[in-house]
Amino acid sequence: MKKYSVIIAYFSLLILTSSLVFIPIDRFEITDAFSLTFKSADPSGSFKKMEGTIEFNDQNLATSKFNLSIDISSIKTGNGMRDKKAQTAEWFSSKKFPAIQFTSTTVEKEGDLYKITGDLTLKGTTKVYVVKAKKSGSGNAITFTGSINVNRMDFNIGKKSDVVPDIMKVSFDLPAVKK
Amino acid sequence: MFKSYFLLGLAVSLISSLGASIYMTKYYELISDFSSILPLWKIITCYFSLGLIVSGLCFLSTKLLPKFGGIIFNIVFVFASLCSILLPIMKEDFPESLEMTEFYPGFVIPLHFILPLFWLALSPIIKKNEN
Repeated sequence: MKKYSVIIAYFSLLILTSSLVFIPIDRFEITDAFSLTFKSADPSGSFKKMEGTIEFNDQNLATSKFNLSIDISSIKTGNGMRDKKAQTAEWFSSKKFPAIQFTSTTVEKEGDLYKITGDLTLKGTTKVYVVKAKKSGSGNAITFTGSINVNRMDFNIGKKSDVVPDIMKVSFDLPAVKK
Repeated sequence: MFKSYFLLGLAVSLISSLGASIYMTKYYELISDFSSILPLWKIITCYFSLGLIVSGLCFLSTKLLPKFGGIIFNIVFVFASLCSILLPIMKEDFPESLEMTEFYPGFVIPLHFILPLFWLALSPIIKKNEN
């Protein structure tokens, strides 16, 4: 009996590890049709340039990964003067920190949504944020949609003010195609 | 006896995975990040399945040829590892956005030898136990 249990353990492990080896790495690249907007009482706007990859496998979320980089110089608030001010050291300090980075650490499914936990780096400060996103599409083209509240004071963006609220609601729509 | 081979396969896989983890993490940090096409989990699962396959085949070869089975198996294993380096050398289907792909074969080739090296280092334990 003991002999058989060793053989069973051997083959079980072999089948398990071999099946994991052949799980495909589904790598998607975010297309230019993305949308990334931020909204508050004042100001509101969007970012127009972003690059990123999504490694996503619904059957194996442990291997899924989001890696996004948003170009701060592409900010558009509908006011040219304000866009320029956003680049200054008081706000995003884009010369020193040209991009906002988000790198996921875990991806979990929660009902219809995906709970993406990751490191958000803004102006040289990294904080852990949890993003909930809805996935649509399948096969070679998928889209993740959702929103997240970002506290600008966590990242020393601007000064505390009665005019500009601390919390910005960032909404995203990330269409991605398989590469 | 099979249990010893099974445990050896697991030990070799575990140590090789540890070695590969250190190597890959440092390489991705310092030189070029190929994690999008070769994530760490892929190598670890690959090492575990290879470690188990190798231990099973070595057990079978020593059963079939008690005197030379182990030696013949080790020679075949080393030769197969050597031949396997052709795969990264011939690889051409890289994602367009991946940079420094010319470094990829040089990065992957050591990974093809980590498991065989640990196998050759640890397999004498089996012989010692048999004696």
